[in-house]
Amino acid sequence: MIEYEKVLADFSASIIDGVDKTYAVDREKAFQALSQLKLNGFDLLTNLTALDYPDKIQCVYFLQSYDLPIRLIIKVDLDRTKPNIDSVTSLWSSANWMEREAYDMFGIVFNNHPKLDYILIPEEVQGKSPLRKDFIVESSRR
Amino acid sequence: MAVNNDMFDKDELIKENIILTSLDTIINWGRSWSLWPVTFGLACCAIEMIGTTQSRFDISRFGYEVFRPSPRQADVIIISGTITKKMAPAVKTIYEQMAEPKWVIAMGNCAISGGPFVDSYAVVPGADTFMPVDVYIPGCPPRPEALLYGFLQLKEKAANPKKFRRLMRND
Repeated sequence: MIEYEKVLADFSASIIDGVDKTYAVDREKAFQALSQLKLNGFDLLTNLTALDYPDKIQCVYFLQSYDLPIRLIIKVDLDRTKPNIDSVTSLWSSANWMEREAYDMFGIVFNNHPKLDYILIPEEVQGKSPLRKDFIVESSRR
Repeated sequence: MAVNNDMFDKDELIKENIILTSLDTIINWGRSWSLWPVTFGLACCAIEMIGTTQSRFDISRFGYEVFRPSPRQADVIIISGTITKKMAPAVKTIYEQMAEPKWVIAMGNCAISGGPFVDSYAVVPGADTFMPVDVYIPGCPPRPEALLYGFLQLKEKAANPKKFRRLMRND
């Protein structure tokens, strides 16, 4: 068994897609699982984003490795009304701005983030999570 | 013999090496043939603007190739691309730093009206909502020929400042 599969089994991750190596992890165990994965070779967080579902917000981590020819996708379901999860900036510095972007676009609060502040969106829509499906677009069309 | 200026077409007189003019006219004429743009691009239209400067289209045929890295040395700002709400203050600052007389070219549909992104929460619907625009060049993006034609229209405007009025969209 490959090392990372054991780690994921330890944290009772359920497989979503075997071809794309997509796994779902519980919110409470996510930070521990990700830090263990980092210790097992996944030293690169290439992307961190989120998805909006009717009943949940899903935080998605794309992990890659300089040594293993594998890409892992870790999905974590969050509560839609008050999404929050531990920040992984302490593991991968690249998470810093990507988490701020997810905070911009979906309103996910990342606990223990060094500077959780709006980074991309203009002031008028700050706090309104414009990438959520229930965001009402006010067009400035003339 | 007094020469009536209206009797002769100016271009005809220039052919005869005769120039009858006021100082303002010749300064404006000189300005119109050496408009210096700011080195400033916003989106994909900027790529077309860069293409215009290269040898195939060769903007330097008209004397407009001197892209200045400082707005204080420039005459024209080409708004080439989508203006986001975050970028709009920077665009305005660059425009305000330019020395008079200054002109603005709105290049492409985004700079004219917001283009395909007009319904977005993050996009300004046109450059003329916050700054005066002299020449509009439609296209998505406009061809380099269109940009050159826009520049030639601006040349007319710069050479004859009394003939043209400048308008904000809200005026």
